[in-house]
Amino acid sequence: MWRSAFFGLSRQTSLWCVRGQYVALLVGLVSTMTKRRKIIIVGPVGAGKTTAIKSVTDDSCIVTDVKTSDVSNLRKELTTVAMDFGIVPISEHEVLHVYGAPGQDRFSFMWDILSIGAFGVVLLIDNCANYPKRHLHAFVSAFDKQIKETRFILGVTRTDLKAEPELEDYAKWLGELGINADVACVDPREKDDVLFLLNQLLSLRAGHTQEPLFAQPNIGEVAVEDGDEFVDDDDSRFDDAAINAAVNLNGVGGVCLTNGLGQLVYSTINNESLNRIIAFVSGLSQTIEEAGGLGPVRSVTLKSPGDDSLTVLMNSGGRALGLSSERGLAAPLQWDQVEELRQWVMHTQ
Amino acid sequence: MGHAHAIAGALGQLVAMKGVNDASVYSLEHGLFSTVASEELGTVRNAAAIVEQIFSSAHSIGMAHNEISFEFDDRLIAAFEISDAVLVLLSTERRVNLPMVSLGVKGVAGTIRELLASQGFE
Repeated sequence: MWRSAFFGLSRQTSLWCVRGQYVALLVGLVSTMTKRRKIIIVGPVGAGKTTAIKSVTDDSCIVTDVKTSDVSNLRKELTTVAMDFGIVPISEHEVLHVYGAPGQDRFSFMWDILSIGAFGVVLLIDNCANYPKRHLHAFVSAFDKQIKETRFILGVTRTDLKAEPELEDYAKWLGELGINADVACVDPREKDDVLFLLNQLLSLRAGHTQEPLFAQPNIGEVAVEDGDEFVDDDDSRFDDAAINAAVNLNGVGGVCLTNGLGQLVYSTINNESLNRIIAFVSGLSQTIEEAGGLGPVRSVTLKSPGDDSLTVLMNSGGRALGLSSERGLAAPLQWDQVEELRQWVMHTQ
Repeated sequence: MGHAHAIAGALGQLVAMKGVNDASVYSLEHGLFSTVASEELGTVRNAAAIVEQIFSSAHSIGMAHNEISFEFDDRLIAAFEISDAVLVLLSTERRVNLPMVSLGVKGVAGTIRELLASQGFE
Protein backbone atom coordinates (compact mmCIF):
# COMPACT_ATOMS: atom_id res chain seq x y z
CA MET A 1 0.00 0.00 0.00
CA TRP A 2 2.66 2.34 1.00
CA ARG A 3 4.70 1.17 -1.97
CA SER A 4 1.67 1.46 -4.22
CA ALA A 5 0.96 4.93 -3.00
CA PHE A 6 4.53 5.90 -3.63
CA PHE A 7 4.45 4.62 -7.18
CA GLY A 8 1.08 6.15 -7.62
CA LEU A 9 2.40 9.48 -6.55
CA SER A 10 5.47 8.97 -8.62
CA ARG A 11 3.45 8.09 -11.65
CA GLN A 12 1.15 11.03 -11.24
CA THR A 13 4.10 13.35 -10.90
CA SER A 14 5.68 11.86 -14.01
CA LEU A 15 2.50 12.37 -15.82
CA TRP A 16 2.42 16.00 -14.88
CA CYS A 17 5.98 16.29 -15.99
CA VAL A 18 5.14 14.66 -19.29
CA ARG A 19 2.22 16.97 -19.68
CA GLY A 20 4.43 19.88 -18.84
CA GLN A 21 6.98 18.82 -21.42
CA TYR A 22 4.24 18.30 -23.93
CA VAL A 23 2.96 21.82 -23.43
CA ALA A 24 6.45 23.17 -23.67
CA LEU A 25 6.99 21.17 -26.81
CA LEU A 26 3.85 22.58 -28.36
CA VAL A 27 4.99 26.11 -27.64
CA GLY A 28 8.31 25.27 -29.17
CA LEU A 29 6.64 23.88 -32.27
CA VAL A 30 4.52 26.99 -32.69
CA SER A 31 7.56 29.10 -32.20
CA THR A 32 9.50 27.10 -34.76
CA MET A 33 6.72 27.17 -37.24
CA THR A 34 6.49 30.96 -37.12
CA LYS A 35 9.72 32.39 -38.40
CA ARG A 36 10.68 35.63 -36.82
CA ARG A 37 13.22 37.75 -38.60
CA LYS A 38 14.71 40.92 -37.35
CA ILE A 39 15.10 43.76 -39.78
CA ILE A 40 16.49 47.17 -38.95
CA ILE A 41 15.59 50.31 -40.82
CA VAL A 42 18.31 52.91 -40.64
CA GLY A 43 18.97 56.28 -42.18
CA PRO A 44 19.41 59.94 -41.43
CA VAL A 45 16.94 62.06 -39.53
CA GLY A 46 13.77 62.67 -41.49
CA ALA A 47 14.33 59.96 -44.07
CA GLY A 48 11.02 58.31 -43.16
CA LYS A 49 11.99 55.42 -40.90
CA THR A 50 9.27 55.91 -38.30
CA THR A 51 6.70 56.64 -40.99
CA ALA A 52 7.65 53.43 -42.78
CA ILE A 53 7.22 51.34 -39.65
CA LYS A 54 3.93 53.03 -38.84
CA SER A 55 2.54 52.47 -42.30
CA VAL A 56 3.67 48.87 -42.65
CA THR A 57 2.19 47.99 -39.26
CA ASP A 58 -0.97 50.03 -39.72
CA ASP A 59 0.13 52.17 -36.80
CA SER A 60 0.37 49.13 -34.52
CA CYS A 61 3.89 49.83 -33.48
CA ILE A 62 5.93 51.23 -30.68
CA VAL A 63 7.66 54.53 -31.26
CA THR A 64 9.92 56.49 -28.96
CA ASP A 65 9.46 59.95 -30.36
CA VAL A 66 10.22 63.05 -28.39
CA LYS A 67 10.15 66.71 -29.31
CA THR A 68 13.06 67.49 -31.55
CA SER A 69 15.80 69.56 -29.99
CA ASP A 70 18.52 69.64 -32.60
CA VAL A 71 19.23 70.21 -36.27
CA SER A 72 16.23 68.16 -37.23
CA ASN A 73 13.84 70.67 -35.66
CA LEU A 74 14.01 72.48 -38.97
CA ARG A 75 12.29 69.58 -40.63
CA LYS A 76 10.25 67.65 -38.08
CA GLU A 77 8.70 68.17 -34.69
CA LEU A 78 9.32 64.72 -33.27
CA THR A 79 12.27 62.42 -33.53
CA THR A 80 13.08 58.87 -32.48
CA VAL A 81 15.39 58.64 -29.48
CA ALA A 82 15.62 54.90 -28.82
CA MET A 83 13.94 52.84 -31.50
CA ASP A 84 10.71 52.15 -33.28
CA PHE A 85 9.37 48.65 -33.35
CA GLY A 86 6.64 46.88 -35.22
CA ILE A 87 5.68 43.33 -36.16
CA VAL A 88 4.88 42.69 -39.79
CA PRO A 89 3.23 39.38 -40.70
CA ILE A 90 4.61 38.28 -44.03
CA SER A 91 2.86 34.94 -44.25
CA GLU A 92 1.07 32.49 -42.01
CA HIS A 93 4.35 31.24 -40.67
CA GLU A 94 6.60 34.24 -40.96
CA VAL A 95 6.70 37.56 -39.19
CA LEU A 96 9.20 40.35 -39.37
CA HIS A 97 10.29 42.23 -36.33
CA VAL A 98 11.10 45.61 -37.76
CA TYR A 99 13.21 48.02 -35.76
CA GLY A 100 13.74 51.65 -36.67
CA ALA A 101 17.01 53.11 -35.48
CA PRO A 102 17.30 56.75 -34.43
CA GLY A 103 18.95 58.83 -37.12
CA GLN A 104 21.15 61.12 -35.04
CA ASP A 105 24.74 60.16 -34.58
CA ARG A 106 24.53 60.75 -30.85
CA PHE A 107 22.22 57.75 -30.61
CA SER A 108 24.66 55.57 -32.48
CA PHE A 109 25.02 53.32 -29.44
CA MET A 110 21.52 52.13 -30.31
CA TRP A 111 22.70 51.15 -33.78
CA ASP A 112 25.02 48.52 -32.37
CA ILE A 113 22.37 47.20 -30.02
CA LEU A 114 19.69 47.01 -32.69
CA SER A 115 22.06 45.36 -35.14
CA ILE A 116 22.51 42.26 -33.02
CA GLY A 117 20.95 39.30 -34.78
CA ALA A 118 19.62 41.33 -37.66
CA PHE A 119 18.48 39.44 -40.74
CA GLY A 120 19.02 42.46 -42.93
CA VAL A 121 19.30 46.22 -43.17
CA VAL A 122 17.06 48.68 -44.96
CA LEU A 123 18.67 52.07 -45.47
CA LEU A 124 16.38 55.00 -46.24
CA ILE A 125 17.88 58.13 -47.76
CA ASP A 126 15.95 61.36 -48.23
CA ASN A 127 16.41 62.53 -51.80
CA CYS A 128 15.58 66.10 -50.76
CA ALA A 129 18.51 66.27 -48.35
CA ASN A 130 21.22 68.71 -49.36
CA TYR A 131 23.89 66.07 -49.65
CA PRO A 132 22.34 62.60 -49.87
CA LYS A 133 25.62 61.13 -51.04
CA ARG A 134 27.22 62.02 -47.74
CA HIS A 135 24.31 60.44 -45.88
CA LEU A 136 24.74 57.31 -47.94
CA HIS A 137 28.44 57.14 -47.22
CA ALA A 138 27.93 57.79 -43.52
CA PHE A 139 25.31 55.09 -42.99
CA VAL A 140 26.93 52.50 -45.22
CA SER A 141 30.08 53.08 -43.22
CA ALA A 142 28.28 52.88 -39.87
CA PHE A 143 26.49 49.64 -40.77
CA ASP A 144 29.29 48.22 -42.87
CA LYS A 145 29.49 44.91 -40.99
CA GLN A 146 25.76 44.22 -41.11
CA ILE A 147 25.51 45.26 -44.74
CA LYS A 148 28.32 42.98 -45.80
CA GLU A 149 27.39 40.00 -43.68
CA THR A 150 23.61 40.01 -43.89
CA ARG A 151 21.27 41.55 -46.43
CA PHE A 152 20.87 45.11 -47.56
CA ILE A 153 18.55 47.23 -49.65
CA LEU A 154 18.49 50.97 -50.23
CA GLY A 155 15.21 52.88 -50.33
CA VAL A 156 15.23 56.44 -51.61
CA THR A 157 12.43 58.61 -50.27
CA ARG A 158 10.87 61.88 -51.45
CA THR A 159 11.76 61.29 -55.06
CA ASP A 160 8.37 62.80 -55.84
CA LEU A 161 9.63 66.12 -54.49
CA LYS A 162 13.10 65.99 -55.99
CA ALA A 163 14.02 63.83 -58.94
CA GLU A 164 17.77 64.09 -58.59
CA PRO A 165 19.95 62.34 -57.71
CA GLU A 166 18.48 59.44 -59.65
CA LEU A 167 18.45 55.83 -58.55
CA GLU A 168 21.31 55.13 -60.95
CA ASP A 169 23.40 57.66 -59.05
CA TYR A 170 22.79 55.84 -55.79
CA ALA A 171 23.65 52.52 -57.42
CA LYS A 172 26.86 54.03 -58.71
CA TRP A 173 27.74 55.47 -55.29
CA LEU A 174 27.09 52.10 -53.69
CA GLY A 175 29.31 50.57 -56.34
CA GLU A 176 32.05 52.99 -55.40
CA LEU A 177 31.73 51.69 -51.87
CA GLY A 178 31.95 48.10 -53.07
CA ILE A 179 28.31 47.35 -52.26
CA ASN A 180 26.13 45.38 -54.64
CA ALA A 181 22.56 46.12 -53.66
CA ASP A 182 19.15 46.97 -55.01
CA VAL A 183 17.99 50.56 -54.93
CA ALA A 184 14.32 51.44 -54.99
CA CYS A 185 12.12 54.50 -54.75
CA VAL A 186 9.89 54.24 -51.75
CA ASP A 187 7.14 56.32 -50.25
CA PRO A 188 7.28 55.42 -46.55
CA ARG A 189 3.68 56.53 -46.15
CA GLU A 190 2.57 53.73 -48.46
CA LYS A 191 2.32 50.34 -46.85
CA ASP A 192 2.75 48.53 -50.17
CA ASP A 193 5.97 50.40 -50.87
CA VAL A 194 7.45 49.43 -47.53
CA LEU A 195 6.25 45.84 -47.87
CA PHE A 196 7.89 45.68 -51.28
CA LEU A 197 11.20 46.72 -49.77
CA LEU A 198 10.92 44.18 -46.98
CA ASN A 199 10.00 41.39 -49.38
CA GLN A 200 12.90 42.27 -51.61
CA LEU A 201 15.18 42.07 -48.63
CA LEU A 202 13.80 38.66 -47.69
CA SER A 203 14.59 37.34 -51.15
CA LEU A 204 18.28 38.10 -50.82
CA ARG A 205 21.09 35.83 -49.75
CA ALA A 206 23.27 36.74 -46.82
CA GLY A 207 26.43 38.42 -48.01
CA HIS A 208 24.98 39.28 -51.41
CA THR A 209 26.46 42.77 -51.29
CA GLN A 210 29.90 41.25 -51.69
CA GLU A 211 29.09 39.15 -54.70
CA PRO A 212 30.86 40.09 -57.94
CA LEU A 213 29.64 43.27 -59.50
CA PHE A 214 29.11 43.34 -63.22
CA ALA A 215 29.75 46.91 -64.14
CA GLN A 216 30.58 49.15 -61.27
CA PRO A 217 33.29 51.74 -61.88
CA ASN A 218 35.82 52.70 -59.24
CA ILE A 219 35.07 49.79 -56.96
CA GLY A 220 36.76 50.20 -53.66
CA GLU A 221 37.25 53.92 -54.01
CA VAL A 222 35.23 56.63 -52.40
CA ALA A 223 36.05 59.18 -55.02
CA VAL A 224 34.96 62.77 -54.99
CA GLU A 225 33.42 63.60 -58.31
CA ASP A 226 34.70 66.40 -60.45
CA GLY A 227 33.11 69.64 -59.42
CA ASP A 228 32.15 68.29 -56.03
CA GLU A 229 33.73 70.66 -53.59
CA PHE A 230 32.88 68.51 -50.62
CA VAL A 231 35.64 66.23 -49.53
CA ASP A 232 35.41 63.11 -47.45
CA ASP A 233 36.44 63.44 -43.89
CA ASP A 234 37.04 60.74 -41.34
CA ASP A 235 35.83 62.62 -38.34
CA SER A 236 32.18 62.59 -39.23
CA ARG A 237 31.07 61.87 -35.70
CA PHE A 238 32.56 65.15 -34.57
CA ASP A 239 30.93 66.82 -37.55
CA ASP A 240 27.48 65.65 -36.66
CA ALA A 241 27.83 66.53 -33.01
CA ALA A 242 29.02 70.02 -33.77
CA ILE A 243 26.38 70.61 -36.39
CA ASN A 244 23.62 69.33 -34.18
CA ALA A 245 24.68 71.68 -31.43
CA ALA A 246 25.23 74.68 -33.69
CA VAL A 247 21.92 74.57 -35.43
CA ASN A 248 20.18 74.95 -32.09
CA LEU A 249 21.43 78.48 -31.72
CA ASN A 250 18.73 81.09 -32.09
CA GLY A 251 18.70 82.68 -35.51
CA VAL A 252 21.16 80.28 -37.07
CA GLY A 253 19.98 79.32 -40.54
CA GLY A 254 22.75 77.01 -41.59
CA VAL A 255 26.00 75.48 -40.47
CA CYS A 256 29.02 74.07 -42.17
CA LEU A 257 32.31 72.46 -41.32
CA THR A 258 35.70 72.85 -42.90
CA ASN A 259 38.82 70.79 -42.48
CA GLY A 260 42.33 71.97 -41.69
CA LEU A 261 42.91 72.85 -45.34
CA GLY A 262 39.94 75.16 -45.47
CA GLN A 263 37.95 72.67 -47.49
CA LEU A 264 34.25 72.36 -46.93
CA VAL A 265 33.42 68.94 -45.57
CA TYR A 266 29.76 69.46 -44.77
CA SER A 267 27.20 72.19 -45.05
CA THR A 268 23.54 72.87 -44.55
CA ILE A 269 23.97 76.39 -45.92
CA ASN A 270 22.26 76.57 -49.27
CA ASN A 271 23.97 79.77 -50.40
CA GLU A 272 27.11 78.60 -52.13
CA SER A 273 28.79 82.00 -51.84
CA LEU A 274 28.43 81.95 -48.06
CA ASN A 275 29.95 78.48 -47.99
CA ARG A 276 32.88 79.68 -50.04
CA ILE A 277 33.54 82.68 -47.82
CA ILE A 278 33.50 80.54 -44.70
CA ALA A 279 35.88 78.07 -46.29
CA PHE A 280 38.12 80.88 -47.41
CA VAL A 281 38.25 82.50 -43.97
CA SER A 282 38.91 79.20 -42.24
CA GLY A 283 41.70 78.49 -44.70
CA LEU A 284 43.27 81.83 -43.84
CA SER A 285 43.25 81.22 -40.11
CA GLN A 286 46.88 80.17 -40.02
CA THR A 287 47.91 83.23 -41.99
CA ILE A 288 45.90 85.46 -39.68
CA GLU A 289 47.62 84.00 -36.66
CA GLU A 290 51.05 84.46 -38.16
CA ALA A 291 50.34 87.96 -39.40
CA GLY A 292 48.67 89.17 -36.24
CA GLY A 293 51.11 87.75 -33.75
CA LEU A 294 48.26 87.74 -31.27
CA GLY A 295 47.95 84.02 -30.78
CA PRO A 296 45.35 81.65 -32.14
CA VAL A 297 42.19 83.02 -33.70
CA ARG A 298 39.16 81.88 -31.75
CA SER A 299 36.53 83.06 -34.15
CA VAL A 300 35.92 85.32 -37.11
CA THR A 301 32.64 87.13 -37.68
CA LEU A 302 31.61 88.76 -40.95
CA LYS A 303 28.69 91.14 -41.25
CA SER A 304 26.98 92.58 -44.26
CA PRO A 305 24.33 95.24 -44.80
CA GLY A 306 22.34 92.83 -46.96
CA ASP A 307 23.47 89.26 -46.48
CA ASP A 308 23.44 86.85 -43.60
CA SER A 309 26.10 87.22 -40.94
CA LEU A 310 28.80 84.59 -40.83
CA THR A 311 30.64 83.32 -37.81
CA VAL A 312 33.57 80.94 -38.16
CA LEU A 313 34.62 79.13 -34.99
CA MET A 314 38.14 77.81 -35.15
CA ASN A 315 39.42 74.84 -33.22
CA SER A 316 42.97 73.86 -32.50
CA GLY A 317 42.93 71.07 -35.05
CA GLY A 318 42.54 73.55 -37.87
CA ARG A 319 38.96 72.56 -38.39
CA ALA A 320 36.29 75.24 -38.32
CA LEU A 321 32.57 75.41 -37.77
CA GLY A 322 30.76 78.05 -39.80
CA LEU A 323 27.40 79.54 -38.91
CA SER A 324 25.12 81.57 -41.12
CA SER A 325 22.76 83.68 -39.07
CA GLU A 326 20.13 86.35 -39.45
CA ARG A 327 21.55 89.77 -40.06
CA GLY A 328 19.41 91.38 -37.38
CA LEU A 329 20.27 88.91 -34.66
CA ALA A 330 21.15 90.76 -31.48
CA ALA A 331 24.91 90.62 -31.16
CA PRO A 332 25.12 90.04 -27.39
CA LEU A 333 22.69 87.16 -27.59
CA GLN A 334 24.57 85.61 -30.46
CA TRP A 335 27.86 86.23 -28.76
CA ASP A 336 26.85 84.33 -25.65
CA GLN A 337 25.53 81.48 -27.71
CA VAL A 338 28.58 81.37 -29.90
CA GLU A 339 30.88 81.49 -26.91
CA GLU A 340 29.07 78.58 -25.33
CA LEU A 341 29.22 76.65 -28.57
CA ARG A 342 32.87 77.54 -29.15
CA GLN A 343 33.79 76.13 -25.76
CA TRP A 344 31.72 73.08 -26.43
CA VAL A 345 33.37 72.54 -29.81
CA MET A 346 36.82 73.03 -28.34
CA HIS A 347 36.17 70.32 -25.80
CA THR A 348 34.55 67.88 -28.17
CA GLN A 349 37.40 67.17 -30.53
CA MET B 1 49.68 118.03 -41.92
CA GLY B 2 46.36 119.54 -40.96
CA HIS B 3 44.57 116.63 -42.59
CA ALA B 4 46.70 114.16 -40.68
CA HIS B 5 45.68 115.91 -37.48
CA ALA B 6 42.10 115.77 -38.60
CA ILE B 7 42.36 112.04 -39.21
CA ALA B 8 44.04 111.64 -35.84
CA GLY B 9 41.04 113.43 -34.41
CA ALA B 10 38.70 110.96 -36.08
CA LEU B 11 40.75 108.10 -34.74
CA GLY B 12 40.58 109.72 -31.32
CA GLN B 13 36.80 109.64 -31.51
CA LEU B 14 36.95 105.94 -32.18
CA VAL B 15 39.34 105.24 -29.33
CA ALA B 16 37.06 107.21 -27.04
CA MET B 17 34.43 104.50 -27.34
CA LYS B 18 34.31 102.13 -24.43
CA GLY B 19 36.39 99.03 -25.04
CA VAL B 20 38.30 100.41 -28.03
CA ASN B 21 42.04 100.52 -27.38
CA ASP B 22 43.51 101.50 -30.73
CA ALA B 23 42.22 102.67 -34.09
CA SER B 24 43.75 102.76 -37.56
CA VAL B 25 42.78 103.85 -41.02
CA TYR B 26 44.35 101.97 -43.88
CA SER B 27 44.23 102.63 -47.56
CA LEU B 28 46.51 101.19 -50.19
CA GLU B 29 46.52 104.57 -51.84
CA HIS B 30 46.88 106.77 -48.80
CA GLY B 31 48.79 104.60 -46.40
CA LEU B 32 48.26 103.91 -42.73
CA PHE B 33 47.15 106.25 -39.96
CA SER B 34 47.08 104.71 -36.55
CA THR B 35 47.11 105.25 -32.83
CA VAL B 36 49.20 102.13 -32.23
CA ALA B 37 52.84 102.28 -31.27
CA SER B 38 55.20 102.46 -34.21
CA GLU B 39 56.65 99.00 -33.56
CA GLU B 40 53.19 97.51 -34.06
CA LEU B 41 52.42 99.21 -37.35
CA GLY B 42 53.69 96.22 -39.32
CA THR B 43 51.15 94.01 -37.61
CA VAL B 44 48.38 96.44 -38.47
CA ARG B 45 49.46 96.50 -42.11
CA ASN B 46 49.46 92.71 -42.24
CA ALA B 47 46.02 92.56 -40.68
CA ALA B 48 44.75 95.15 -43.13
CA ALA B 49 46.10 93.19 -46.08
CA ILE B 50 44.31 90.05 -44.92
CA VAL B 51 41.08 91.91 -44.35
CA GLU B 52 41.34 93.44 -47.82
CA GLN B 53 41.84 89.99 -49.25
CA ILE B 54 38.77 88.63 -47.47
CA PHE B 55 36.54 91.52 -48.48
CA SER B 56 37.78 91.38 -52.08
CA SER B 57 37.07 87.68 -52.23
CA ALA B 58 33.60 88.17 -50.78
CA HIS B 59 32.80 90.98 -53.21
CA SER B 60 34.08 88.96 -56.15
CA ILE B 61 31.36 86.38 -55.57
CA GLY B 62 28.61 88.89 -55.02
CA MET B 63 28.64 89.13 -51.23
CA ALA B 64 28.49 92.54 -49.59
CA HIS B 65 30.17 91.74 -46.28
CA ASN B 66 32.05 94.81 -45.11
CA GLU B 67 32.58 94.25 -41.40
CA ILE B 68 34.80 91.62 -39.89
CA SER B 69 36.07 90.83 -36.43
CA PHE B 70 38.78 88.41 -35.34
CA GLU B 71 38.51 87.15 -31.81
CA PHE B 72 41.74 86.32 -30.01
CA ASP B 73 42.25 85.18 -26.45
CA ASP B 74 42.51 88.66 -25.00
CA ARG B 75 41.25 91.02 -27.64
CA LEU B 76 39.23 91.59 -30.74
CA ILE B 77 40.45 93.03 -34.01
CA ALA B 78 37.54 94.57 -35.89
CA ALA B 79 37.73 95.98 -39.41
CA PHE B 80 35.23 98.03 -41.35
CA GLU B 81 35.33 98.81 -45.04
CA ILE B 82 34.13 102.39 -45.23
CA SER B 83 34.71 102.80 -48.95
CA ASP B 84 36.57 101.05 -51.73
CA ALA B 85 39.90 99.90 -50.33
CA VAL B 86 39.63 102.11 -47.24
CA LEU B 87 39.53 100.26 -43.95
CA VAL B 88 39.06 101.27 -40.36
CA LEU B 89 40.74 98.79 -38.02
CA LEU B 90 40.17 98.69 -34.30
CA SER B 91 41.80 96.78 -31.51
CA THR B 92 39.26 96.31 -28.75
CA GLU B 93 38.47 94.43 -25.60
CA ARG B 94 37.21 90.96 -26.39
CA ARG B 95 33.70 91.65 -25.13
CA VAL B 96 33.19 95.04 -26.71
CA ASN B 97 29.79 96.29 -27.78
CA LEU B 98 30.31 95.76 -31.49
CA PRO B 99 27.03 97.31 -32.71
CA MET B 100 27.91 100.46 -30.81
CA VAL B 101 31.43 100.42 -32.24
CA SER B 102 30.07 99.82 -35.72
CA LEU B 103 27.79 102.81 -35.35
CA GLY B 104 30.71 104.88 -34.13
CA VAL B 105 32.74 103.93 -37.18
CA LYS B 106 29.87 104.89 -39.45
CA GLY B 107 29.76 108.21 -37.66
CA VAL B 108 33.32 109.12 -38.53
CA ALA B 109 33.48 107.30 -41.86
CA GLY B 110 32.24 110.30 -43.78
CA THR B 111 34.86 112.55 -42.22
CA ILE B 112 37.64 110.07 -42.98
CA ARG B 113 36.51 109.64 -46.58
CA GLU B 114 36.42 113.38 -47.08
CA LEU B 115 39.82 113.84 -45.54
CA LEU B 116 41.39 111.11 -47.65
CA ALA B 117 39.82 112.50 -50.78
CA SER B 118 40.93 116.04 -50.00
CA GLN B 119 43.90 117.62 -51.61
CA GLY B 120 46.41 116.84 -48.88
CA PHE B 121 46.16 113.12 -49.49
CA GLU B 122 45.66 112.99 -53.24
